[in-house]
Amino acid sequence: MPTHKISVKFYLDQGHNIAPGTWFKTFNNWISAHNGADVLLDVADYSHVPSGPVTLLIGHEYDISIDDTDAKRGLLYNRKQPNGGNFAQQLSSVIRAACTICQRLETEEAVAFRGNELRLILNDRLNAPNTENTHNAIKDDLQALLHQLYNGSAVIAERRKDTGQRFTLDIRAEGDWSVAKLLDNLP
Amino acid sequence: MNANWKEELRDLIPEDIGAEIDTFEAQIEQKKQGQIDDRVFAETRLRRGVYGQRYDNGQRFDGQITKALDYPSGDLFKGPDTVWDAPGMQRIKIPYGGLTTDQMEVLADIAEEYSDGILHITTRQDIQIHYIHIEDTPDLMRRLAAVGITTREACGNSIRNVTACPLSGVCHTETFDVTPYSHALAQFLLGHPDCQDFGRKFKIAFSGCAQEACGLTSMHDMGMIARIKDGKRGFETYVGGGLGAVPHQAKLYSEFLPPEELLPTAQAICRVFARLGEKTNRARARIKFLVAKLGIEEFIRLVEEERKIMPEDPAWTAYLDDLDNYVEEPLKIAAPLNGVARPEEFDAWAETNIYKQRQEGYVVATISLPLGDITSDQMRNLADIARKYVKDTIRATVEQNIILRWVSESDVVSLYNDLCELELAEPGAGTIVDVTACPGTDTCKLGISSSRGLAAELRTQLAQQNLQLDDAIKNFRIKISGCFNSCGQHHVADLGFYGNSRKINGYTVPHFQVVLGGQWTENAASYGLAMGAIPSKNIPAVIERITDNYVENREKDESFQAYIQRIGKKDVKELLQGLTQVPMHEIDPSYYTDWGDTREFTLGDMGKGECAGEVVSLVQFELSGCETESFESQIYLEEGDCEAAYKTAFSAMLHAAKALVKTQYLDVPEDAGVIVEEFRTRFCDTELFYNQFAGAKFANYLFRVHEEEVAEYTRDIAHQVVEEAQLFIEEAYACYGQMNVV
Repeated sequence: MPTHKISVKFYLDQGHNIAPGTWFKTFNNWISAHNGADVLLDVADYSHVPSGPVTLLIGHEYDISIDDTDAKRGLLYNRKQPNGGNFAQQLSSVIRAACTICQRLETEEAVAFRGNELRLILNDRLNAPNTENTHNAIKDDLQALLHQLYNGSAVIAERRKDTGQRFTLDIRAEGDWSVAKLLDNLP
Repeated sequence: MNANWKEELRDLIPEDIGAEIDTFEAQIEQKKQGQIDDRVFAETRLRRGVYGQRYDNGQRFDGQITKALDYPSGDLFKGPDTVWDAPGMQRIKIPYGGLTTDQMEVLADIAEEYSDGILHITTRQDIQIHYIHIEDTPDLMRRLAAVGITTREACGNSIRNVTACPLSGVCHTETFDVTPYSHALAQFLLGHPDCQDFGRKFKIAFSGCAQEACGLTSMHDMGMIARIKDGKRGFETYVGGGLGAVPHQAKLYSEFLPPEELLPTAQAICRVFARLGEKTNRARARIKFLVAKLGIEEFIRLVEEERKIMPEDPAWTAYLDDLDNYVEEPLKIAAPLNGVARPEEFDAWAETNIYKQRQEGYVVATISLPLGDITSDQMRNLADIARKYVKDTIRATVEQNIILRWVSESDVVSLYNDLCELELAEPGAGTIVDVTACPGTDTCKLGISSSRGLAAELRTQLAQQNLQLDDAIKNFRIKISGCFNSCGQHHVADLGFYGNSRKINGYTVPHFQVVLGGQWTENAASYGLAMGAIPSKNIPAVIERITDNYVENREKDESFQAYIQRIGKKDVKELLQGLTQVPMHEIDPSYYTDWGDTREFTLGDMGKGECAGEVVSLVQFELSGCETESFESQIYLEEGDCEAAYKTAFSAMLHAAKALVKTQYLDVPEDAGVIVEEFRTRFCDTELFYNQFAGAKFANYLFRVHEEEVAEYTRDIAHQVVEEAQLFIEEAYACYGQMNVV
């Protein structure tokens, strides 16, 4: 398994103009209301920094941020602690978690996410460098998962080639996909 | 099995530094097994720059109630009241702020992989990253060490990052370039045995001239200003300055300290501070209190006496031969900016962010960072820009910005366009918009009010008004600290603020104390005056009233400092009338939350700060290190490396003996023979190291192994010495305890 440090970003379709203070309040409320086994710790405001994390919910097992990287706002889920299972299982679990959070935000705020486009990052330059070898190592697991996720629709996965970057795939599927649909399709 | 950074970077990390990081990793393991005391471990990690962070006591106020944060580590702690799994801050030392492009890339990578993708430039030219898990720190340190960066002594009771004027070498007013001297002193004092027993931290700064602000030498424990005397270089040297709750201006130590005396004098000052500085009362343990207590004349006398008895060290002058090797070379030839089309906003940016170097045809470009923050992507791309225009001539500044030196004038527009692409071309560097703030309540356990929240608000408001601002106030400095400890350097700002609170209408309301008229120039020559506490939400109005009044009522060419002195506290109080009022909660609840937060304000999230470190005596600290060596010897034994196990166990015994000897003979050399003989004479023959039941048995372990010639390192032999080392260290602790009782 290359790594458990997997990040997934889904992009906003609606709700780009929501003020950072609103995200801050929402994430803070999540900490208050949280009763899961995972630990949510703090909220950080980085809205003064362009093209970075706007508002960040820090947890022990994972972080969640409203993320503006590459000037494309979305929800970034960043897994920090191992979640059990092999790479395919961890990947599936991360995508499920990201979709679940997107769905929760769609319920609580005036936002919508595009399910047909996502960014996958392996946040571990040592075990998952940005190389074709890493791509080959995860290809089968990824293809199988994307096939299920998008119900067999055509999917393009493009690797960012800049060597300094982490292993990053930009994934696009044909058709309209909501995060709710993706959740239904996940194994 | 997955790869690991230790193996991956083995050839890139100097052996001694790699060994230090390995030791720290072993200490983490020992702590998890309950083999190190919380206080000792806290100071150990602090001296590696591994710092606590808000909420690390395992609780957080959510706006209504304080809730427990149920970390999986349960009852495991990494310091008193500091939960193991709670994320912390990693401080990274950047001596004189000097960065290379390779270092910038690694910093970007580690912030991305272990932190939140944000790098924060501090007011001491350090870099901090937050939300770090302690178990990631050894790898993080290895990756930094592979590009020549250390985190050693970034926190704790130690020599902190040595700062220097970021314009050194290119400045018009400097006497000479202080960079190689600051580098030499930083390297010399790093991990120096005479700097391991302080009651508090020790901060050093260098400045190339007396009149500018850049070095801020007056507010440092030790400050050096470049001087030439009879054609020879040297330093006007100050000692005992500092901010904090009780600011002190540094006192003149020497009008001219020649370079060959720089290192030994600093060492002698450290020895006097270690010996006579306060260790119990943390609030009075900085050297400024010692200098004030003794008087500068007596302090100088003691340092000079100390200097005479110190054993000669070739390192004192060895660096002088390397001074000429320090040359900063431009990447591009100097050429004027001829006829290149300028983007619309270029001139405004160039006016504040470009400084013409002393060297014709070159400029310094300042990358103005909001609140000192930069993303990993920006940092990585900025490294590419630096490679394109200047190579490795980059520095972090105490105003929380980054500068590129040696930009050819012909490249300035092109550089600006490239910075715009990265959204790093904000104008206003070094002006009223360029607000400085410590981390405050965002991440610091001591923070009372939100310094960053206020700074962000002021930056936004002032940037919008920038074009309308009167020239008289455009270059004002605003500096904000979250509490009285002055990490935001509020004492030396025109408009300074530090966080406090007031109980009003049954609620705790965030406030800032207003500190006016501090002097940034002349190396922070004078400190501002406290004018009273104002609710946080009224601070923008404070700035507006004060600056408007100054613009309207100042006398011809009257500085802001002179104006504040002239009108006095009474007039300022009148000017701020009404702003101290807080409306009832029902009428305006916004006063009861802080800037940049949505929760109702509380002091309940504050914790015990780690700025002061833990007072752990040198012997305790060194004996703890011996335990780590003993632990490592057990690991070697388990792994079947009997020779390493034997030698490491002996080294643990030897270092324990040395730790005890140092209580009587500070300069005991590293030589094993000398240590053993000194130990025999001072501790064994005197029966100080003497077990009431076993007599000299444990001491004899050391003597035997020292004399032993081993033909073959068998498991039995190694095992015996590993066991003996553990017993020897136990006895060393008992001996030290007995000495302290007596």
